[in-house]
Amino acid sequence: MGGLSEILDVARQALMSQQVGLDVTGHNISNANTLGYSRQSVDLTAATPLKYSFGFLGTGVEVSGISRIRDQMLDRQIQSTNASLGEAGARNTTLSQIESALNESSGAGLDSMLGKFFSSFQDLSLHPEDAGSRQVLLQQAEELTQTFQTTSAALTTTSANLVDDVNQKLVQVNELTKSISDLDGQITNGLAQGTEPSDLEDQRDQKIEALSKLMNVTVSRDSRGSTMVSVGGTVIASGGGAVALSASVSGGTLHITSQASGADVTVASGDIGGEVKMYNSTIPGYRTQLDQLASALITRVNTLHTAGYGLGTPPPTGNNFFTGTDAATIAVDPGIIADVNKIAASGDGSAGDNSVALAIAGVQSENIMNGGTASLAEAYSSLVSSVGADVSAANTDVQSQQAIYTQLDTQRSSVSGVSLDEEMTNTIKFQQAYDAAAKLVTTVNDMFITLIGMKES
Amino acid sequence: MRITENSLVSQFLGSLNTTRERIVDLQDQLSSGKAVEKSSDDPVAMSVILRLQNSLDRNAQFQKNVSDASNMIDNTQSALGSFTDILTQLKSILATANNTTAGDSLPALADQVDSLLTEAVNVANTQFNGKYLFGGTNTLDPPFQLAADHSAVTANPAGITGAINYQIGEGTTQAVNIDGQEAFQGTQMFDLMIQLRDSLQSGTIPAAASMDSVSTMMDHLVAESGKAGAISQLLSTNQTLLEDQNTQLESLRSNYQDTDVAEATMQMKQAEVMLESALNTGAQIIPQSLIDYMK
Repeated sequence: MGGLSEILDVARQALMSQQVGLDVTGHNISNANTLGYSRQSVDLTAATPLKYSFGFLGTGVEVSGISRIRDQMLDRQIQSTNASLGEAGARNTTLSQIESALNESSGAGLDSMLGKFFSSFQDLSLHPEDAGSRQVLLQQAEELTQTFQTTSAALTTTSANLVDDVNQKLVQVNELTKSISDLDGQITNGLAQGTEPSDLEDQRDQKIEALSKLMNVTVSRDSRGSTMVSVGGTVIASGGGAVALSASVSGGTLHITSQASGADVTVASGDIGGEVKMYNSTIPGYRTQLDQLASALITRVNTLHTAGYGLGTPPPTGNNFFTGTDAATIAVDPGIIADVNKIAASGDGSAGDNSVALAIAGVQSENIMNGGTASLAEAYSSLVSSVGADVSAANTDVQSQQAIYTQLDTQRSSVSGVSLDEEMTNTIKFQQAYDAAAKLVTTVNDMFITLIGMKES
Repeated sequence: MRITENSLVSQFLGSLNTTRERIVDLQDQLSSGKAVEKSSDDPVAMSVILRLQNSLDRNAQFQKNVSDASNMIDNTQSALGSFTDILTQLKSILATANNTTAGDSLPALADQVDSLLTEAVNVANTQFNGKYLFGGTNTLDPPFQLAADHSAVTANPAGITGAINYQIGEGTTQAVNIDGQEAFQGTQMFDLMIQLRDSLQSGTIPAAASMDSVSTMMDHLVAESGKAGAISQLLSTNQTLLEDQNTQLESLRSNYQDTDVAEATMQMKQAEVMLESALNTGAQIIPQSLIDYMK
């Protein structure tokens, strides 16, 4: 049977353990609002008992460890949701920019410019002999070509911005992968020495999560607790170090390459993945539609216009109305800008004939787009609606992914988050145990005094 | 399930945000008066709106075309009327000549016919809005030229024929002029007047046949004037049609694009109530914790 001093020993360990408990509680409370923090709990175990003839006698409590409460499964789900959310967000931002560049709601878009252009030809058909209506027509035509050019330029600017943005985000990616691999080294060292560096693990998970919003990363762990982060099959961060990524444009395509091997890295989603997709397929798709529109307009109007006659003696004929081949290069022929009388309204050279003006005005309702199934306005309206539908789909995706994220985050918060009520309860719990252990010390002290007093009396 | 303070806060903020977004959206709809402003608001509606807007713009252009055409044909009609008046005067001069016994008054009548000729050429060269109405498609040159000695009237060698067509509706064009060839049968009417003048000048009373010729020409002019009237009538019917179409298109566009104010106001009220109750609940629940009850 143990002596009184052994009871003191038990009390001392109890005091110490409850103090550690309060310490951990304090740490949790301090980090209640720290992003990415997982609550920690102290693992208390009963110390090894001593065997006596009457049975085992406990020797008190000991702290066996401090563990981090975290659900890796939730982390993985959050990472993949993050990638989809990032991708949808990138689509949403870029497409909204394009939508506002099309400018349809303000009445300054291509659709209304096309309408005004053809209207001017109608006006010319009313007064083919009048220089005034020609001047107005020239102005409208120049506004139309300018609108084509600005819209095309807006697509170019959006593309250029995407490259800048991807480059900036790759700087973040490279910083993140570097700190992930640094942290990984420290964590595996700690684990090798038998302690769990919870706060470092939190930091690493936090950085992986930030990374997962930028690109669709796959995370795997080995038995040593080391983490390997890869994207599209290329390892970009591990205990062994990080691989820096860079972006380059070649042949009109945006590539993400590994700086170490120079090989292309496929980034399918996340912010960067979304932006790469926009650059490589979505924007070129819109541009093609816009260019087709411009080129059909140029060809059809020029065909009619060259056959017509302007004003003068002899009436000028054989002139093109537009120059250029696509939305970026379309312009009014310089000859017409210099002399509006070169605008052909007449089909036979007489000043009052308006047959060519009428024919060009009629191009508005001719089906010259999409293999003869749509007019210019219809083709443009389908471009506008396809951008609108894409924006609307991206919006929906952002909302639904956001909802999933919120749900997962609530679940994670439920597992790993700090509840102040719980911590306050723990404070009381540990404090009371501490009080009781202290009471034990004073009681043993009293017992010692009693014991010593026995001898004197 | 463990609910932590932070998840309570983030959920509260999340739902507050959703409600506020809804309010901003409704406010936008109410202040702009448009439910569909961007294509992404409703891609299908937007494509219908664009098409309707297009039709409205074209309709406005057609109305403008019709109004120009009406002005032109009305002026043509009144010019033809003036020409008929000239022929009426010519007829009464001829009647006077026929009743005359004293041959010496005939040259005075010839002078009257000559001034009617000048007037007739002027009428045939009527300009409207910078166009010679009877020049066919050669609208910049006078269709008829009276020789300086009044000996002959020649038509513009470039031609006085050709229809001027205006587009007055989807796929509908209408000729809005009556060319000089058709209206005055080339220079025939002027030639007749010159012949009559010369005959009176020489003291010969014109034959009864020439009286008939004048009558035939008057009939022709009245018929042409009737034709102009018919075109004018057609244009005015067309104008009414276009105006009706405009009203219909406008109300369709409004259906697709404009905010249903009553509906939006009601939804706005609902959102406001939601916001208020969310704020109220948040303010009551979030500050509460165990600490309040610890001494």
